[in-house]
Amino acid sequence: MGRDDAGFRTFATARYGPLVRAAVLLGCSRPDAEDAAQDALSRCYVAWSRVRAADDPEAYAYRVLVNGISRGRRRRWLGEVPHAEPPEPAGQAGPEPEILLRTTVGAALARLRREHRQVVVLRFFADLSERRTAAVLGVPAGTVKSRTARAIALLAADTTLADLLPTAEKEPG
Amino acid sequence: MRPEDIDADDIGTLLRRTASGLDVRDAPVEEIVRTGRRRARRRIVAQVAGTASAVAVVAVLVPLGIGTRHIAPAAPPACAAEVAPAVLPEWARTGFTAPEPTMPYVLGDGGHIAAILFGPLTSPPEPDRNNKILWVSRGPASPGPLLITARRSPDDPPVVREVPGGPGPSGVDLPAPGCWTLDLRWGDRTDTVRLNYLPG
Repeated sequence: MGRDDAGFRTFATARYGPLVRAAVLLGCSRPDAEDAAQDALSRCYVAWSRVRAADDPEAYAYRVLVNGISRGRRRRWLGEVPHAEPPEPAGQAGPEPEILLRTTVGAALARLRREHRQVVVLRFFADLSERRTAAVLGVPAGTVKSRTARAIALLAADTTLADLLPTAEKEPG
Repeated sequence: MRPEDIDADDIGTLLRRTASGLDVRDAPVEEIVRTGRRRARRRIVAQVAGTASAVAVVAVLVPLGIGTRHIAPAAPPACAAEVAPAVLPEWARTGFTAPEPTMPYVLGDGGHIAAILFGPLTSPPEPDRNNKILWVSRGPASPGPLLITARRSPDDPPVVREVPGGPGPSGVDLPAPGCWTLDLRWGDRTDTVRLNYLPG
């Protein structure tokens, strides 16, 4: 089919990790996140000429991922277990701080509405601009801006997150 | 830190720390490529099956005499499943800098016009790109718009589009996916092209 397979392989190798991590932050279990990333990249393979010609192939891949996860949610439960409270009290550094971080952040994200969670992950993990996030989600940039502001306000009001950030990071000077 | 002090930078820091703690294995690229190839084959088979079933219906109904009181419609010529890039005809290279520009294009049945494509055509159009077609007329034509009358089958009502300046860059969105026959008229010239619009 005249595909640029080498170019696709380079793209897939580079994008797989960020897509898996984004899918976890979007609420997928680890195995489902890997499936979602593989599904997204295989769809990119089919449309590789379009992806390659796109202004922003990275955003294209995120769009396919987000759409795939949304389709999957409509079909089945993805196994996410939202917690009303984190399993352990935040701030008490236990023997596995990474697990505490992951469960606390995951629980805080799970308390957001889906559209707020999407903008948070795309803007602050994937580091996409408002314009690129808008292209991924198929909404106006103004909508991304308002959703982002609302999501930040909700996360700022989430008392479980504050203790995860060292105080020194916010001290002036 | 007080909760009210959390800002966008802090959220980014938390997300990146959380994500970096996930140990992701190497990308299973070969598996992804295999899945992609299967998916591409299924898409082509579905397109071919659609055309074949239309031909089969005609082949069955006509010998049975069904519908023969009227002239039985011939199956419309099929669209190419995929328009592969090819070197443009010399007369269609205006504006391209490469000596032998290679682009996906569809030639009119009469050879009077070329439709140069800049990506797959989809209906509805993808949110971040339009269905861009560059129309190039073989030889000059009297001034006026390029009028497009598009049908998916001869019995369908036509969909009319107009490119105001005549053959040139355009965005041609059509209301449904499928193989569309576009009857073209510009100046004193006419031609017909068939273009496949994939589901968007």
